[in-house]
Amino acid sequence: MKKYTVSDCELITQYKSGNEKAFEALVNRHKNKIFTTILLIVKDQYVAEDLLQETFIKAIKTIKSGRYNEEGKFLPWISRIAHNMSIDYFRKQKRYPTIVMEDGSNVFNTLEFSEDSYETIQIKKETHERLREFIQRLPESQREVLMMRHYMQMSFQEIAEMTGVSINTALGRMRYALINLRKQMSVIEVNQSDKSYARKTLSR
Amino acid sequence: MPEKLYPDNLVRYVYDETSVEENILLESIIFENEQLEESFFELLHLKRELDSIICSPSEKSVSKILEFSKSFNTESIL
Repeated sequence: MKKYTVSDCELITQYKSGNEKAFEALVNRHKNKIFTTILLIVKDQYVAEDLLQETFIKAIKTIKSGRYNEEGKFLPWISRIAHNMSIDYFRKQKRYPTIVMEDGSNVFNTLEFSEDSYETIQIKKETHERLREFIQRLPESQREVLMMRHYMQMSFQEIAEMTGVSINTALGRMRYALINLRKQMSVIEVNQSDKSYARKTLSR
Repeated sequence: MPEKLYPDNLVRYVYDETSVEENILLESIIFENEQLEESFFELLHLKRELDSIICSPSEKSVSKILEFSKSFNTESIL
């Protein structure tokens, strides 16, 4: 976990005193993880952008009205808001939309990889795309724990309390999620290795 | 902490949820067993992969959030 010189708790205290720069620092610190949490659930870039705004608006209202009382645990708190909003949206939609950009490309392909060869960039893109698919295909209980621990930075104890299971169950679900992902990833790594070998052989 | 390594402890270790004492014991078990060492590095690799799929929202969304914050004051909800 990344360590910051100014803690979230201190930034919130400053924000409560009217320092908007402190809030900007909080947003910039956590926006990517929150956005990814939302995107992995709703799978639509535009919806995810809207839900991110709604999430922060709710957080702003709560903090500025003095109702925020989870000092020191800002990311798990705001991630829970984002998670609940995303699940609500998803349940209302009752479908999994495909993420498509205006130019027709997949939203996740907009990630940039510098200083790599074309082939390496393609492999990374494919790997990332597949990994997201694999996460979405995990059983709900495993996916939930994985997202809470990895992207929402909740501890296993907090996850256990929030989902109403024992810490051993939460840990077990995380372990199975990781095992499942690792199995799936190893299959595509073998395929990519075969592809790379074939390309090299053909180019000789 | 038992001297045998339970798989869930490896997960806790990878996610930095173990104490310093547990770390010393776990490391002595993990790095003396080739299979456990391999599992450990596989988990670390996967953790890095999970980090690598993090996406960024648009600047427009971030600006809207910051603008809302500046314009919002508690009087508007009282």
